[in-house]
Amino acid sequence: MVKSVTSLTGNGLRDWIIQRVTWVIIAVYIVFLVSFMAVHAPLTHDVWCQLFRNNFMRLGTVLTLLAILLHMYIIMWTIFTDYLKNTLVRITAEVIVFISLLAFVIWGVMILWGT
Amino acid sequence: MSTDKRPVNLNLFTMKFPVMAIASILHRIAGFIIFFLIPICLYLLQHSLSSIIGFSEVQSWFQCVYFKIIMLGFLTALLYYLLASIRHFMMDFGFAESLKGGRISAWVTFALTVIGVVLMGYWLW
Repeated sequence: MVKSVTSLTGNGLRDWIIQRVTWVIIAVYIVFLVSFMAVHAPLTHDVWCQLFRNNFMRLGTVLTLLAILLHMYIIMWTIFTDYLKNTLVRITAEVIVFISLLAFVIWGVMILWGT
Repeated sequence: MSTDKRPVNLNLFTMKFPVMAIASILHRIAGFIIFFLIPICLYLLQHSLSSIIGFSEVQSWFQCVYFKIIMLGFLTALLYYLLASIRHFMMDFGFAESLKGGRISAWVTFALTVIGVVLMGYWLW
């Protein structure tokens, strides 16, 4: 069996389960954030900052960004595999996507714990 | 049977697509669009947390019609992506796998997205 080197885990079934688990994490986070905004409407700067100073919220945000990294990579890999037929172009696109997603996670950490 | 007599018609725009095919390609397009929403969300979060001035600036952006339209577009993609994913999970568990079931679930996904977009539009305006 030829293993796919560019898919997230090199294993279709593992990608499949990761895609589903990470979807749940992202969905829960979005539902929570929207509910929070609805409950605290109109939102103030104090309440907003307080929310993101909470360690559970910080943990949830980083967890969600990691879930986005994995989930989004699977989405983009699937799309690129189907439409980018040139290997060099495809791998370049996949690398750019992966580095961008990694940067998004680090940026998120910087926002939460930074200045 | 000679194979070169087969009709060759690869112009996709001349074909009529079943609703499931449209639901599927929109799912992909939505997934692709969301990628560009991530940095926007991070920037909005960073700016809104930076200071009280930053926070009110973000709020003022949401007053701008063009900004609202762009955000509604992104949120539509996000909502459609999430709902169409649920449709896939249902099929993972063996529901709506028939032709009729797939067709109905595709229409239900569209309908729920439209309702959601109207609600989000109401929320933004």
